Amino acid sequence: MTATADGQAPAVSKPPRRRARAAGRLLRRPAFVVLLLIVLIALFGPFFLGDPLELGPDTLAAPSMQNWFGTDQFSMDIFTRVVHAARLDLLVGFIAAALAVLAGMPLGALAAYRGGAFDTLLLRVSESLQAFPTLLLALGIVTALSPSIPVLVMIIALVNVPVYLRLTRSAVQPLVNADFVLAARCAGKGQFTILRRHVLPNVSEVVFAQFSVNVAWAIQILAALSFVGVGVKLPTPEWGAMVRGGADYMIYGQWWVALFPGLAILATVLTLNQVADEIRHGS
Amino acid sequence: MNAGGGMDGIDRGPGAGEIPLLTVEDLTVGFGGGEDGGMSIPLQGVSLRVPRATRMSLVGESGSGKSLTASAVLGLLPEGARVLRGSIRLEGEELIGADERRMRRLRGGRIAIMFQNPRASLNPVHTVGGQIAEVIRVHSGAGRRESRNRAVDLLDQMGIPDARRRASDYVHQYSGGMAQRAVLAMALSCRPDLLIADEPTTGLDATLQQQVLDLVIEQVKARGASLLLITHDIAIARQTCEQIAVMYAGRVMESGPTEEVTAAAANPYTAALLKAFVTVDRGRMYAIPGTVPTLSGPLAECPFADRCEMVGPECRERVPELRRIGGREVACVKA
Amino acid sequence: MPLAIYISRRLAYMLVALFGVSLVTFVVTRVLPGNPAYLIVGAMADESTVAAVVERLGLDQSIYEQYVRYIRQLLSGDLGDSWRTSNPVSVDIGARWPATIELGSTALVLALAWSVPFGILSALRRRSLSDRLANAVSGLGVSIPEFWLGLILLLIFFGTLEWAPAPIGRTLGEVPAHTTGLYTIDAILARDWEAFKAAAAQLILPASTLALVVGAPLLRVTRGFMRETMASHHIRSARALGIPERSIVLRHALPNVLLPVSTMVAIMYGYLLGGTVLVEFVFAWPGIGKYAIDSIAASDSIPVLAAVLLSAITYLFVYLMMDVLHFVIDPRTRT
Repeated sequence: MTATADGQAPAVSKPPRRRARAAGRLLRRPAFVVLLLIVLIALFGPFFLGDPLELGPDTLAAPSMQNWFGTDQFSMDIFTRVVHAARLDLLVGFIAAALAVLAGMPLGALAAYRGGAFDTLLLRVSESLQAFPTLLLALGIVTALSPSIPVLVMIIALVNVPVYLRLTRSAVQPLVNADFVLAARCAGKGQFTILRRHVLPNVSEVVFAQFSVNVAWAIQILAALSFVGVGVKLPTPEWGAMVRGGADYMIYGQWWVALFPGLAILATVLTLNQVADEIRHGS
Repeated sequence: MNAGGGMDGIDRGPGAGEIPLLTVEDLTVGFGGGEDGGMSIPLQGVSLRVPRATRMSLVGESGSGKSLTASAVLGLLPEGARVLRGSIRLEGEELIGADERRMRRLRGGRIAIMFQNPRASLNPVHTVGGQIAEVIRVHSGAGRRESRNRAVDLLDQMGIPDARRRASDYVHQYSGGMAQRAVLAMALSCRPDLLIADEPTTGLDATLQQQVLDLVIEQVKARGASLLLITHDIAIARQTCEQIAVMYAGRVMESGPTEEVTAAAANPYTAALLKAFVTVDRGRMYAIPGTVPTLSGPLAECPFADRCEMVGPECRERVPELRRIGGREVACVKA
Repeated sequence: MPLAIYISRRLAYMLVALFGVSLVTFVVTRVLPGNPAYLIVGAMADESTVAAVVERLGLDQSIYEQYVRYIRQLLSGDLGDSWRTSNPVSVDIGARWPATIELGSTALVLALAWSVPFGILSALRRRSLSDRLANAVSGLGVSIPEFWLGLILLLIFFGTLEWAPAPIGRTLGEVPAHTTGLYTIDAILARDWEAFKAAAAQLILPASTLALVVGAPLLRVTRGFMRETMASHHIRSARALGIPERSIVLRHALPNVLLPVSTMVAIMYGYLLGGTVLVEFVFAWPGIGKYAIDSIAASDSIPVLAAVLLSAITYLFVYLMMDVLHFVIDPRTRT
């Protein structure tokens, strides 16, 4: 007899093409494509639209063919402003997250690699920083300094450093005594060379996923700071500030003023979080 | 011709003439095979008979389908797997397609299993005694106190000192050997007719291995139960079981009385396994060249052909079926 | 390990963290550029006021002495004064904390009520409709700006449906007799059902907003641990011994899931009790968060930094309590 399964011819599974190009792989991920779209809108959208500060004929006009998202209390076109604001929000989010990575990752790797008192000290400091609610800590620092965009970026980056520090530390720690690292050490390579060449590449996936989450988080913090009035101020186009501007009109029927910038935050943050999930569960 | 070949009523040694305790016939299990098509068939027509009060070992390399066979018997196939064909009978009662309530009563009641890694097999947040008592309560309907006392007795019988006190301990307070004794107590708590032991000594110290094996044999014998010992180690099989079945690539290659099979293997695969074991004993390593084939579909030739020293053109023509030769059954065209 | 040793060790950890926390707030007030005296009295103050503050804070002394003085003040309960309300900050915060506790606790209860059962259900039925729904809701919950969600809820339930009262403070009715400072609890204690309804009506929208935001990560964590537990060896073992599915989920899996989930709950509660700035702001809820925002708007820094410090301390304290509770409940640490 032969072991035929229900008489079906089995599909021969092809060996996975492991070395498919990374770019091609990313394009097959839906969230990544959406993110690309959002970035493209932020980069090129403003060229096709007018001045975000230009005043129109009507204040608080409902969404229409002229004003897709309506106009605000100053008669500015909300659609134009939402698109323009994408630049600022994405830029601040990206730079703040990048600064946090640049500071946190090497520190975390070094902490894991060096161990001892250095490790303990860094860990305790970041634990203390993480005990603060992110937003309140940012608020506290903003009150002590005068809020400007570079200051905001620095603050958002600072409150995110411990996240990377601990993440990298926990990812690097099991690798420190891995055979290939010991081998490199025996070969007489320096600490930093070993970290850069052998350890960090092994944790990059975790960090990339976290980076995407953190850009999202930075955008949320920026929007929240602007919403409570200590971040970016109107009329500069920024999503959180725009939601704040429309908040009072929300309950009186002019819902579009706050709705659309809020949706923009939601869509961007959701996409960035999905991208992180795709990085984690993919490959 | 049926691969099991068990329907023709010829005398076949122990347990012959009566219905065996467990009969597995032509068991074929597939994974996947949904819309995306890619189906693998890790069990390709397994046939086994475990008579009453008999110890049988199921031997094979990892990936040969031993553990999956045990899961199928318990009706607990992993997610995505399903029985494509075949029959599993417990004293004549068909288990494939049996309803879940019936299966649940059999599990732990008439067929019990103990896994490797005993400390992970016990729940960390309940006491060891409490877990054994729950199994007793579920199957016998005994009260809390009654089942608790029986659990303590069982732990005592398994040689756990100060059983009454240790019954209130948690698994993290047990050593590996003690935990395996407790797992055995739990498996035997409802006097099963068949105990499946899936690599019960893997992960234990060498000295403990022997103790645990001796205890399993002793307890199974004392209760008149059958044992299906799943192991990759043919030495353990030889030493503990009267019957042996050698599995390879989702099929039984050879089965029969242990002495007969190990004295002169009729299947080159069995011979290779024995050779690997014997040479290890003499301090040298012999490894069977090649690896177990991945079973992405039905085979058209002997699964061992690529690794076999005696391979000939006839081996490539079809899949050899189990044939009866003396007291044993062999799947090899050359036997 | 005995409980006393454990607690003292955790307390020591907490002291270290508190030291770090106080250092951070100290650095923010004193070391950052600009004369901190202006932070304290406001930019409009005349020179003699500033000089008095410099004197009082010891700003002419070394940083080290300033820090010691700062800690000594904190320990004596002196958080400084708010020039906006012209009260000691400790008095202001004492008056507002019950509002935050009431909102945060209600939100936590609501969040637990939907997220934990939903997380367990979705873990049990992978890829089912409820699993997909759980995925969507938790994804949304983590990503949605909470201030915007609050506004949307106001638009729907206050602006459009007119089911909810205007978002102004904790009650539109009578303030119930003061016992705990939590209006709903006080109303129940006083059997004043009108006051209870008025207070609960104000509470429901902000608490729901927070419950969605806080519930989302709780759902993810619950689902993750539940999936992990259901795939563990001891669950497989219990199933193989015929334990009914109901007991598998409730008795065997759930305790193993709730222990780690409770850590996440503690983190969330610590965060909620520290003042939820955005939601308190949107709903004009007179708690710590609103106090901080109002102070910022008036460039009154001392109350903001006090709120920051207190919320960090609260967080550490709640976390410590949960740690100790774990130690008491979890058999692995208890024995």
